[in-house]
Amino acid sequence: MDYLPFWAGGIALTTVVLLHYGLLHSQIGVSGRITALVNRVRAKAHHEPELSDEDMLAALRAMTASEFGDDAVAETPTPAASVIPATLPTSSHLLFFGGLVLGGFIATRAVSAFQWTPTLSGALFTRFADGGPLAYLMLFGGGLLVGVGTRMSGGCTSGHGLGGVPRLERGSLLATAAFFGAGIAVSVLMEVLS
Amino acid sequence: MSGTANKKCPHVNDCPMFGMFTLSGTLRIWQDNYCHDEYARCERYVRAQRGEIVPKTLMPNGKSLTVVTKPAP
Repeated sequence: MDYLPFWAGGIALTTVVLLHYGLLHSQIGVSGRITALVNRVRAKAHHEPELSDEDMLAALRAMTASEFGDDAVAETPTPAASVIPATLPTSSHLLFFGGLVLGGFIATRAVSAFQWTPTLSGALFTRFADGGPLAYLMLFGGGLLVGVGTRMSGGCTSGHGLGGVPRLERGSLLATAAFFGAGIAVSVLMEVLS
Repeated sequence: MSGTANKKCPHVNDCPMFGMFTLSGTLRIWQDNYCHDEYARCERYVRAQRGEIVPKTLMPNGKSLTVVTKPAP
C-alpha cells in the first residue's frame, strides 16, 4: 500500500486541528465525539427531556445566584466563544465521522487506485493469524483494549496526540508516550517472534 | 505550561454543562470553581469516572438544576 509523504500528512492533521479549534473553540477528539453520541443515546434511553439552551441559561443564572450570591450574577462580558452552541448537534458528529471515511478514501485515491479488500491482509498480521477466525478474534480483542484504554486515559490518539501534546499537557504526553511506546514494542516483538 | 495552573477537566470537550458555562460571562464562575484545578470535586466528573449516566441538569456541586421549559407558542 502506498502512502502520502509524512510531511503532507503532518500538514493535513495540523490544519484539521487548527480549523477545529478556530471554528468550534474546542480541542479535536474522535473518542470524545463517540462518547458524546453514546451519552446522547443513553440519555434518550433514560427519557431525559430535551432542554433548550435558553431554558437552561435561565435556570443556571438562578442556580448561580443561590450558590455564589447575587453579586456573582452581575453581568460579566460574555466570551467570544459563546457564539458556539453549548452542545454540538448529533448531525455534526455524524458529519465528522462521514468526513473521516471520505478523507481516508480521497487520500487513498490520491496515491493509488482504490481497491476493495474485505480481508485482513496485513503481512505481519497474516503470519500470526492467517486470516482465519483467530484474526477476527485478535482484531476484536485489540479493539476492546483500545476502547478500554481510551476511556481510562480520557482520550485517544487524536485527543492526546494531536490536541494535548502540542499544549504540553502532562497527561497527554504520558498517554502518547505510552501508546506509541507500546505500539513500537509490540511491533518489534512480533518481528522477533515471526 | 506552568505546573498545575492549566489543569483542566478531561471531559470539557464532551460535557454539555461546560459548554453552557461558556454561553454567558456570568457562568464562568462555575468553570473557575469546578472545571480547572478543582475538577476532581465536580460531581459530574465523579459520576463520569464511575461510568454512570450524568444527567444534563446535574450541576458540578451535586445539585440538580430545575429547568422550567417554556410552552411551545
